Amino acid sequence: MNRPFRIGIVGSGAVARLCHVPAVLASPLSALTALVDPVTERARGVARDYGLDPVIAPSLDDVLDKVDGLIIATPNHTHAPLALAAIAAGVPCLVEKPLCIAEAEGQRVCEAADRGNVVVAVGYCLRFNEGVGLVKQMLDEGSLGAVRQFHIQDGSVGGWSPESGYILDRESAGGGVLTVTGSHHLDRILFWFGYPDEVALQHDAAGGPEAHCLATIRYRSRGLRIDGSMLFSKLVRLDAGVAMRTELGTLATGVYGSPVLWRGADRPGVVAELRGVRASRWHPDKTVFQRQLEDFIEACRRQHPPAVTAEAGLQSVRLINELYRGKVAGGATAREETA
Amino acid sequence: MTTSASPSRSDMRVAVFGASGFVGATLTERLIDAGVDVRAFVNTSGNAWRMARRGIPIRQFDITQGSGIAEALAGCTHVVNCTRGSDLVMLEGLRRLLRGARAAGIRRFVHLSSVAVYGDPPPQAAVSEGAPAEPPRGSYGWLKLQQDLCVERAHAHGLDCVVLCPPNIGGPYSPFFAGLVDDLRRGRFVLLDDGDAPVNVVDVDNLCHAIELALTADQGDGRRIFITDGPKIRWRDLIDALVPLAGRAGPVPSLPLTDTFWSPRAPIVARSSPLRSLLHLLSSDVRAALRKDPMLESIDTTIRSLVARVPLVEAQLRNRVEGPIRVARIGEQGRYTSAFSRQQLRMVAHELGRAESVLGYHPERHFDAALERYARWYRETYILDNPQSQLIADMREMLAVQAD
Repeated sequence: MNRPFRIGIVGSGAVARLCHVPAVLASPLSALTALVDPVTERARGVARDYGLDPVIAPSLDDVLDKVDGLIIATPNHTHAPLALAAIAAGVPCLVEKPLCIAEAEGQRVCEAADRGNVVVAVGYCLRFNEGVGLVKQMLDEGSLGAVRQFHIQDGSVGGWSPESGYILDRESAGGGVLTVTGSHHLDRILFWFGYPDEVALQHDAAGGPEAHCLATIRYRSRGLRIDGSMLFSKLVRLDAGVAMRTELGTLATGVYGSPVLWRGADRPGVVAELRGVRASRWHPDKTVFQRQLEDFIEACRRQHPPAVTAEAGLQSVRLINELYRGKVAGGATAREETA
Repeated sequence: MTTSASPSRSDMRVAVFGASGFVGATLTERLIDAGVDVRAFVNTSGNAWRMARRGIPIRQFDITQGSGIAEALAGCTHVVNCTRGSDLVMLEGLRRLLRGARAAGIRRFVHLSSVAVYGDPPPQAAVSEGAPAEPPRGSYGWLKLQQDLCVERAHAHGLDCVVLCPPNIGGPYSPFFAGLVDDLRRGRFVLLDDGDAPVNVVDVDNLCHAIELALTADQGDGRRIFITDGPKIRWRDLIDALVPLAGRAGPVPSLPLTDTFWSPRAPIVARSSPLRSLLHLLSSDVRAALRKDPMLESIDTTIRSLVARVPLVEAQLRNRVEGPIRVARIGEQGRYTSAFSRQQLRMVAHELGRAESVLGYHPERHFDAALERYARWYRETYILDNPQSQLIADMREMLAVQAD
């Protein structure tokens, strides 16, 4: 039997405390051996709260020889530099999303990981909801028919509050609600449909990060003709969900792991729940963070790609940045602003 | 009192506490747009997006911590308290804020109270502010009443205070309006007697206008002042304006007010007695919690097996501890679960006499204009006129089927 995979978590803020530490403790595959935070007292606080005794260090360099893999859960602008440092030492890492702010640094991460044959996974944890995989399977099989439209929305009044407050700083977060909330859903459409042909963004930023935005996404190549929209907000609560109109009917699901529902065009009065026939890879009680961690550990042990690779993470950043730049048909730039 | 001798806005530095909330953010934006020097304080950064998007500097400050208040208020001339939160924030936090404001020589402290202090439903005398305020102990209204008493005491001790008392607040970002639209969409809301009862509502900009008047009024008196959009608005006026946003076909259902379902709610806190407390300790709920401990579980099992040997005693004891078996009455009214429906029982229209005489307040925006503006904002924010809107409506409908 394998010994537990020794995990070090870099950053001991809210996502580490509430999501990653519980995932490491819940998994029989892993053990938390190090916590890294320049504010070591914060890391000690996390260790104390969970009754743990890991190595506490202010710097990544202090723990590289004490772990089998790292979870990088720090402010967004530090993700790529920390990942590069880990890769240089040959240590695999699961990097919280987004992989990077600038595409160039993400490219460096991908190249370094390739060169060093080091596993890098990106923390788009919603991929580990069963429904996301089921929809992908049905799209690939063609059992939903050709997709014509999709819409995804997710919004709350405020919400997630990192201890450092970095998400309100555009430079540190890499953007506003599109990056903070929307990037999970951009990853989802990249997974389902691939890279879009035309994108545009309307948003409300006026000197700071946008708090409410509408992304328009179009597919016009590879035989696809899909009009999509994505609405994200930190100002109003939105009924969070995903909807897809196909030539055969309408699919709807929540964004955080609810069932996949189907209403066939031939039977509009009936809504059915869709379930996969194959047994799930995951125990239903495992959180998406535990599933993501175990996928990362298996990728490291078996030397195969994780579910969300560094390349997938880079694609997502590229799409975010193109939305911010306002890529539209023909490559023109149009950044619209709502009143 | 009038606003004629009010200080110039250029002389003011206003500290807004609770600046990330619905009212606080609207006020902060308005004051900044008007060129007022504002210091915006928030408890956590998570809710401060509305200001962050405009690059408005925010300061994180926990009013329940005594330290740092002097530094936070240094150079400020006025304070507006829009904070909400736990009992600790609302009571201890406010006390610390008032002490700090007095020590800092703040010229005017504006506090937001709530009509909830008059209870729900309020007494008919609550058309004016002098009505008895007797909300159930521990309720939100009770907390707001304790706050008002703190502010009144601070005023008596020399801190010039104005206390504004709004009802439900409408306008862009209003949780009240958004909740009503949601409940209308889901079919949870019902009008009583065709919505003939008065509704007390104030547009957030009218409230902020009142706060601005309160900042510059000659003198505060530390007592509540009602701020509304006016007294002649009925529930059906409000619902008629919001129904088109809900995208729901058919008329809003109406029930007669005489229906027993709509009788006023029982008090929130049951009357206490030593016997009631003792019986509660013996109840199955408490025993279930205690049984998590192995030793207490063993004791409970022993006692139950002893009692079970005498069936009549067991039945009598169970009846005494748990009470008789109750079966809830289930009528069609049960589908109307919106908490807003009950608000139609309030039946009181709060008057603006003190607001006019103390502050010179008249609503900046008429109710109809406020609702039109809200509808425009809602349609844009929730993309009701987008080509995808039918798909979004279908998604909501399908997810609602699953949720039901």
